[in-house]
Amino acid sequence: MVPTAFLVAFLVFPIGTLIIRVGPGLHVAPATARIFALSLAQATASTLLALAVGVPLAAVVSRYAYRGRALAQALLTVPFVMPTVVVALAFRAMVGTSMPQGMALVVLAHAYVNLAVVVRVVGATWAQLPDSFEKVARSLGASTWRAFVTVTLPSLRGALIASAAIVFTFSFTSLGIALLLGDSSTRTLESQVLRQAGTLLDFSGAATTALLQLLVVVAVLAAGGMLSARAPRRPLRPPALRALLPREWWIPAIAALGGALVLAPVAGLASASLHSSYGWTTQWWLSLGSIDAGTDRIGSPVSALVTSLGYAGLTAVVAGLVGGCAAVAALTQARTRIVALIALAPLGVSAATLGLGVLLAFGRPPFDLRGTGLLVPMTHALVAVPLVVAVAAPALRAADPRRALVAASLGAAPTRAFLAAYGPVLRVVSLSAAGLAAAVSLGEFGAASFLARAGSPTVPLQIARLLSRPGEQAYGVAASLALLLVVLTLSLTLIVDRAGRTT
Amino acid sequence: MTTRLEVRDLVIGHHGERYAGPLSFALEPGEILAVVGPSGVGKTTLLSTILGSVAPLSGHVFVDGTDVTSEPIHHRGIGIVFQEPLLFPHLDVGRNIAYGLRLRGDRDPARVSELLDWLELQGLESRKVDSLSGGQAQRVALARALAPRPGALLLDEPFSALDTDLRDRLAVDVATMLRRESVAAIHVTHDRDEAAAMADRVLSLAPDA
Repeated sequence: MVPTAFLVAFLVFPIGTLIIRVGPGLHVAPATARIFALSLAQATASTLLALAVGVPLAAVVSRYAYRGRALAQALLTVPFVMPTVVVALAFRAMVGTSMPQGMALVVLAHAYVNLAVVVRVVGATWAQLPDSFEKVARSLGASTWRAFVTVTLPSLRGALIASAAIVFTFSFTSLGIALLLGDSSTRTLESQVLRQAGTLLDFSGAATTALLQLLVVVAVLAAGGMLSARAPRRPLRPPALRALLPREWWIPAIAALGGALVLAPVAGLASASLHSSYGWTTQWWLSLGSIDAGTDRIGSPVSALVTSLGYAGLTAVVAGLVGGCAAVAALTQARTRIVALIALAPLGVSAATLGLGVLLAFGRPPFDLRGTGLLVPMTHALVAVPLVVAVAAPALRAADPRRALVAASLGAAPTRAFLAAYGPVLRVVSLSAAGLAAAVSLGEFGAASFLARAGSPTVPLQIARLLSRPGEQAYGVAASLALLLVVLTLSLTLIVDRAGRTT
Repeated sequence: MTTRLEVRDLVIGHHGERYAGPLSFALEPGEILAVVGPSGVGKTTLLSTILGSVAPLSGHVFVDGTDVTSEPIHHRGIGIVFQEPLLFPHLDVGRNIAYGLRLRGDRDPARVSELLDWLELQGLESRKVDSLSGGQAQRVALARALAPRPGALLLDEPFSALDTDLRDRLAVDVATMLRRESVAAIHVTHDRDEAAAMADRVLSLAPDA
C-alpha cells in the first residue's frame, strides 16, 4: 500500500501531467534516432567496463576480513554518490588536457560512477555465499578459475544481472557527465529531451524522445528483473568475513588499488581547492561560510550544505520506508510482486524529466507544494527507491522463509513471524539502503535544478552556479565545496557500513 | 486416552493437483508416527498441510480434539523441526529456546534450564548460535520447538544432515523426550532403519497412495 500510494502521488501524477501538457506526437526525428544508437553503444561499453572492474573489487571488499576493508568499501561507494557535476569537475582536474573530451572519457567516468552499484549489489550477495560451495568444487578437481565460473558465478547471476541493468540505465540516461565530458558523439536522449524542451521549445518532440528513452529503460529493467528473479536462491548466512591466509596478501592490495583508483580524481579536486594562480592557498576554504562566496549573495556555501543535509535525512526515511515495503512485497505473492517492479519504475524516468513533471504537477494550484520544502526530498526519495529495492530485495530473498514457519509454529503472529525470519537481514539492509538514499540525495542534480527554491539551493546546485561564473575564486570555492561533499558522503557510508556489520 | 493429533480424510496436494490421500490416523500422547516413501511422494507436503502452511484439498486436522484445519499456523499448537536448525541468528541459544515461551508471556527460566539439561546443552545458554556444532544446533532447534509444550511436533528429516553416530544418539534422545513430554510426533525420513528405531508406527506413502 505505502509504495503504491507514494508512487502514484510522486511518479504517476507528475508524469501524467507532463504527457498531458505536451500532447501527442510520435514522430522520431532522424537526429534522435542517431543519438539513440550512439547512447546504446555508450551505455553498453560503460556497463561492461563497470562490471569488469567492479566484480573483482566486490570480491575483495565483501568476503575477507582485514584492516581497511570497511574503508575500501566506503571509498568505492564515493563515486556513485558524487554529483555528476563534481565527477566531471574532478575528471577534468585529474586528466587536465591529456585526454580529449569524448566517448572514451565519458565511458570511463560512467564506469567510475557506477563502480559502487556493482560493488554493493554483487558484494551483498557474495558476502552471503559460504565459500564451502567453492571448496566442494575444488575438492572435485576444479581449478580456482573453474570453481569460480561453474559455482560462484551462477550464484551471483541474479546480482550481476540486477547491477548491470542499473548501470546500463544510469549510463543510458546520463546527463551531467555526457554533457560536461563528452562531445557530439556522446549526446544522450536525456540531453536531447532538455534541448528539445528547453532550447527548441519542441514539447511534442521532447515527449517522444522521453517516451523512447522510457521504453528502452523499462525493457532493460523488466528483462533484468525477470532474469535475476530466476537466479538460484541461497539459505541465509550471516555475512561472515573470512580471515586472510598469509599468501593472500594481494587481496588487500587489490582493495587498496581500487581505493587509489577512486581517489585519483578526488585528489585532483583537492589540489584544485588548494591552488590559486599564486600557488598554495586556503582562501577558498576559508570563504565557504561567507555570503560573498555564493553567486547571488543570498546564502553562503555552508547554508547550502545545511539545506542538503535536511533533504538527505528526509530522503533516507521516505526511501527506506517505501523501498523496504516494496522489497518485502517482492517476497510474497505474485500479485504484490508487481509493486516491486513498479518501484523500479523511477529508474526509467530520468531525474530531469521527473523534476520537470513534479514541478508542473505540484508547482501550481490546486497542489502547490513549492513553499513546503518537500518537493526536493520527495523527488529524491523517488530517485532512491529503486536503489533501496535493488539492495534490499536480493538480500531478503536470500533469507530462508521457513524461519517464519518455525516462528509461527511457536505462536508468533504473522508480522512477528515475518520479522523472525527477515528482521535481522532487514535491519542490516535498511541501514545500508537508507545511507545510500541519503547519499543519492546529497549528490542529485537534475531534479533539484527544477525544484529547489532559488534562495535555498542544494550543494550540487551551488557548485554548478559557481562553475557558471568565470574566475579562479569561483573554481576554487566550487572545488572546496565539492570536496566537502565527497568527505561528507564518505563519512556517511562509513558509518552506515559499520552499523550494518555490527547489528 | 485422548488423542493429541488426529488427521481425518486428509487429501494433500498443491494447486488442485492431488499428491496423496485420503489419509486418516490418530496419535496418542508420546506416540511417534514415521512417514517414509520415495522423494516427491508428498511427505513434506503432508507436514506442511498439518502445520498449516499449505491448505488441504479436503479433510481435517485435530489437535487435542479441536479442529484446527482453518486455524493459522500460530494458533495450532504444532511445532516443527526442519533438516536445517534454522535458529534465529540474532538471538543467543537461551533466547532461541525461550522464543515461543516469551510470545505467551512466560518468562520463567525454569523451562529453558530443564530443556538445556535434558538435551545436554548446559552452559551454552548465552552462546551465539553461529558458534554451535551441527548436532548442538539441531538440539537447540528441538528444545525451541518443545519449549512451549506443543500438542504435536513435526520432524522433517531433522537428523539427515548429521553424521551416523550423532544421528542414532539424537534419535533415541528425541524419542525419549517426546514420550516424557507426551507430545505426538510425525517423523518424515528417508531412512527406514531410523524410522523403525524411533517410531511406534510407520506410514508408507507410495506414488499411488
